[in-house]
Amino acid sequence: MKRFERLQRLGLFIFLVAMCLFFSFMSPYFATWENFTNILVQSAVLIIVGAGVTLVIATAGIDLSIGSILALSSIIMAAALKAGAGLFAGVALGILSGAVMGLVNGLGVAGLGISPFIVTLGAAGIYRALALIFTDARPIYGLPLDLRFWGTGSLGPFPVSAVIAFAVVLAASLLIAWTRFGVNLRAVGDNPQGAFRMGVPIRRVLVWVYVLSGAAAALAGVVVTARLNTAEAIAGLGMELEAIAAVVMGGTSFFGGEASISGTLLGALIIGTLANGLTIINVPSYYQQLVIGIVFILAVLADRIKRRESNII
Amino acid sequence: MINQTRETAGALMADALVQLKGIEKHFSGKIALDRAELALRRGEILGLVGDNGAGKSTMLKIISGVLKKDAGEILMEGQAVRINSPVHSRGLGIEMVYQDLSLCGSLNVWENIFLGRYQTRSFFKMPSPVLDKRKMIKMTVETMASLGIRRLDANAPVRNLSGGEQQAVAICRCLLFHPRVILLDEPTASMALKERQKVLELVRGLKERGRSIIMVTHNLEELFQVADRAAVFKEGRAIWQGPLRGLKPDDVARMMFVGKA
Ligand SMILES: Nc1ncnc2c1ncn2[C@@H]1O[C@H](COP(=O)(O)OP(=O)(O)OP(=O)(O)O)[C@@H](O)[C@H]1O
Ligand SMILES: [Mg+2]
Repeated sequence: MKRFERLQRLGLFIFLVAMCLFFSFMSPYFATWENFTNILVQSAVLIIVGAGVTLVIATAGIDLSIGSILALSSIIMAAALKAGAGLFAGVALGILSGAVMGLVNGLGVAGLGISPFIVTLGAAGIYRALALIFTDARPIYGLPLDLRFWGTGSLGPFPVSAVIAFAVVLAASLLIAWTRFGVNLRAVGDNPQGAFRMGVPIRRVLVWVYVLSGAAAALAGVVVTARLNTAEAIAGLGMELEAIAAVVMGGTSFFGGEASISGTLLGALIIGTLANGLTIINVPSYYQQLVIGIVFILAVLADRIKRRESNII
Repeated sequence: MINQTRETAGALMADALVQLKGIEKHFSGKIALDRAELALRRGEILGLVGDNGAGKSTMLKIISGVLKKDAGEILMEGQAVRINSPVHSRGLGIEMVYQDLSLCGSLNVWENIFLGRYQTRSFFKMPSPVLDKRKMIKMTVETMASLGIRRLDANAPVRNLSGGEQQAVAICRCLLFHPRVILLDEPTASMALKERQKVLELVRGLKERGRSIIMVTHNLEELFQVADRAAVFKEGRAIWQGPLRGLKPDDVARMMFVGKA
């Protein structure tokens, strides 16, 4: 290591702190406990999808369908709740449907051998279209009130959505560092041929990675739907850019083989803070996209430099 | 000497541990192996030599299950075996060190060594997918030490190691699970003289402990240092197989390039 990585991590952290100082200076409403929990809630969704995308990118893949999966799975959950399913059953169905959409992606990538970019881009279009068709492009309102706990409730001083995000981060970190699957997925991203020669079931690993990414997107969909108490076919639009930016900014390499969930967490918090701060100082939200786009490209450049610094096998 | 090929091949049938018969392999129309024969005896070191592109690596990859043969059969202790994947060959006690080493640069040393067959922990006597890192690091350090490599950090990404160190990791990985048959595809290619000697010593040591080894090499001096017998490959066929005793490197070189003794 990892000098570059440590530097990058430190840089991100300083950037986050500097941003907080800047926004605090610009507005008295920024540095409050209430706004802090707001940032956590706003970032929670990004953290959850980001954790899934981290796994995918670690295999040198990409998942452009997370926003669409988020929307379609939310719609499925909302429809089930409307149809009288219990809260738990509805949420479980939503997450399961996200996993199935991920499974389809994974089978396309691992089974048909089509590039992840193509598969998930196509899937993004299809899932989004299904969500729109199914709802006639109308939001589903009036979901059971106890769903709202998942979006706006709190456990002690912490918002439930942030607690969920934290649990996801913890689970993903343990998965990557402490399980067979975690090593396998990095090996597949680094050198699929070598991994195959060592007996790693590379197709199965790839399929599971997309399943987890889909399930994470659907879990994020639960949080979004619960927060608004509404399911919309346009939910999660453009989320893939933010998620991928958070992941790459956090130091997970596009070249595969590495996965840093803590980096993704930091990346997502930066994007969340940026969005929150810009809103508070009345900068129109489309400027956020501009900043995120720029940050994303910088992160990709840093990734390239990092790889060139070390001698490649 | 051509006669000797036939003789030894006949005599080998009886005590061959691994035997390949009539192996063919095509790559999109191009023939890489053309009815190639090879026999490895129990407890010997068989040197595999031949020009670039002669089919040596392809032959070993067929034994290790990375490539599927188009025709021919593989026998182990006289029994036909099916090897369709690296998992099969590992199950039969066959390990291979690939010419490109097949390491994952961003994974660290122990992760590479235990790739695909991790040591895991059990909780309350139940198996789990949780890695037993401490055990794997300990085994890594011990095996590396037995190769004479002591200064290596088991937690360092393999990408940061020197070529020779990477080669040592790849060799260490194949030794850890006590294979019966070891396939080495140019195991000393990127090593300095001293490391190279160490690996050759190790290969001899493995033989003494009853392992059977096929080693590809381009270095004829090295071949004569360690191998008991040799097989000369040319254009996808083993044009000669026999004991090295009584031969000189020049004899082998002549077979490699002229195609006859
Ligand atoms: N995956 C592949 N696709 C196409 N052709 C291949 C492939 N692998 C090997 N070949 C071809 O098969 C032939 C034998 O290759 P092989 O790697 O077995 O040679 P080798 O004897 O190991 O040579 P070297 O000493 O250079 O390692 C070569 O002509 C090579 O180009
Ligand atoms: Mg070769």
